[in-house]
Amino acid sequence: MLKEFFKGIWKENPVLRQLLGMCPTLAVTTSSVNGIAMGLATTFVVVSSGIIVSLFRNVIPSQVRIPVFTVIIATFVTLVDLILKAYFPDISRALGPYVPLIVVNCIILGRQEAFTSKNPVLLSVCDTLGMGLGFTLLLVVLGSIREILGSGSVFGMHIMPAFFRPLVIMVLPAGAFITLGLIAAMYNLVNQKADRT
Amino acid sequence: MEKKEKITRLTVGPAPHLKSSLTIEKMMWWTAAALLLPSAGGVYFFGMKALLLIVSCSAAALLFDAAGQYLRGLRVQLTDGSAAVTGILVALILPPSFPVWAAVLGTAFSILIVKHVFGGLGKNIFNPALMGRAFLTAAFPVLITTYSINCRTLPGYDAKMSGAGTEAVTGATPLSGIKFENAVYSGDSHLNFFLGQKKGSTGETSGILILAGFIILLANKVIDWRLSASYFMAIFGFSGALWLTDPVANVDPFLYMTLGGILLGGVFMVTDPVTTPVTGRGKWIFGIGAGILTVVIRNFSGYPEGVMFSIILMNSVTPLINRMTRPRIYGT
Repeated sequence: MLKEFFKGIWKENPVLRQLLGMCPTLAVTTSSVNGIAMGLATTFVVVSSGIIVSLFRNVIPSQVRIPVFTVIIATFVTLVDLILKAYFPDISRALGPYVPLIVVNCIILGRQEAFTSKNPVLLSVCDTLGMGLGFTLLLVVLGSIREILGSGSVFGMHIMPAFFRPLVIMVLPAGAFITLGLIAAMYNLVNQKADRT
Repeated sequence: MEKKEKITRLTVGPAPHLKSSLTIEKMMWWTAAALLLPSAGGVYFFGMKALLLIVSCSAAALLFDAAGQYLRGLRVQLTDGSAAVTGILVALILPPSFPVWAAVLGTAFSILIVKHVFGGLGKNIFNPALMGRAFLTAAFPVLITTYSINCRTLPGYDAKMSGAGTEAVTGATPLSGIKFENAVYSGDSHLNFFLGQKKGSTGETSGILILAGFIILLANKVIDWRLSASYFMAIFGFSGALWLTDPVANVDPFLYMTLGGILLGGVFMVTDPVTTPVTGRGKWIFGIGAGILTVVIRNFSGYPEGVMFSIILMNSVTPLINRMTRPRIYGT
């Protein structure tokens, strides 16, 4: 059970290993706060829809499983979207259309298809929670690096010394691609080193 | 059976079987030598700040190249000269007033990310120096458009007339002047701009020095004339056509060619053997494409200059051009 949980964080990290969910990963990680908000919203959706799909896995006809999964996911995304709008309007505005777009995040549909529709509820919770947190972790790391270099702050707090000049490129899309590429390279390097020993 | 007496040794090696005395080291050091001319021009027109920029960028390029080779587990060797060429080029395409620390950062991006991450010398997709500048353009949009060092006036010239001397319009380069302030340059500007009396990036001011470097490179067969020729012809033709349709709003093609980085880019960037097509027809396509894109970006976009982006864009389609223009194999 712990194995199912931890695989999402490192070994099968949804972004670094499966290369899923690229669109929100690259688009919203201009700051650490955006990263954590997007990550937690996605985690909530993937875990809750995972529970429902797992509960009903024996009654969903396999021919129409994708529409059924999508409807379940869309329900929870609507919930998240409305909650964010009501209680965190700033974050909701910063994330913009990317909150409703969680519906089409392939990490979520991928987990239903690959895991929760075939496994009992408890295992499904472990799996989806691990995947969600792995996604969140990466988004926070990516968002923090881009925020530190691009705006000189982290979680909104200014930390860089006065002589530091923000690199505007890091908050632009190009900065997202460069940073994610370098993180993925490091990830592969660590895995290679670990495999050798 | 195996023990045969000594027979004449026939060396069977892989192709190519023809050997040329023109090695990579020679090409790179000739390029570096040719680059000294525009560098000297930059130092003459912009003073010691330009020299500091060129020296620190080249030193940083060599240092980062050694670091990149070390990190990739290779034997560190800097004698191929490619890093030095990249370093000098980065300095030459930056404004002379650009802060040295930021220029060093751009050089690090050129060498470590654009060159070594993609596999080192000969394997990079994009021209490292241009990508370094593109990185700096996106990272420090204000610094890269600040040309605060005025150009030295050539002896015997009137500074006001040239639009370049100390008393002339401050701030704007001729290109951004034309684009954003509707500046008009008189007939004298042709010669002044060609000789180098204008604001601009460190190495792009003096057309005559760049063309001298061009001749050095051509004479030593370091570069392929087709790339430069097609690039210059495309720009001349396209800007000439625009000028003929509306002589008031557009600059005449002779002046157009002396402005900005067209000459420097056409001699030293378009001809980069690594990032441009290898086939003859491909070279024509590359040059013409880059030339058209340069004019399109210059005249129809928000940027005053299009040399950098046009060459980078064409770099990205170089593998496609190579595939498109592959020579037909006999018997197929």
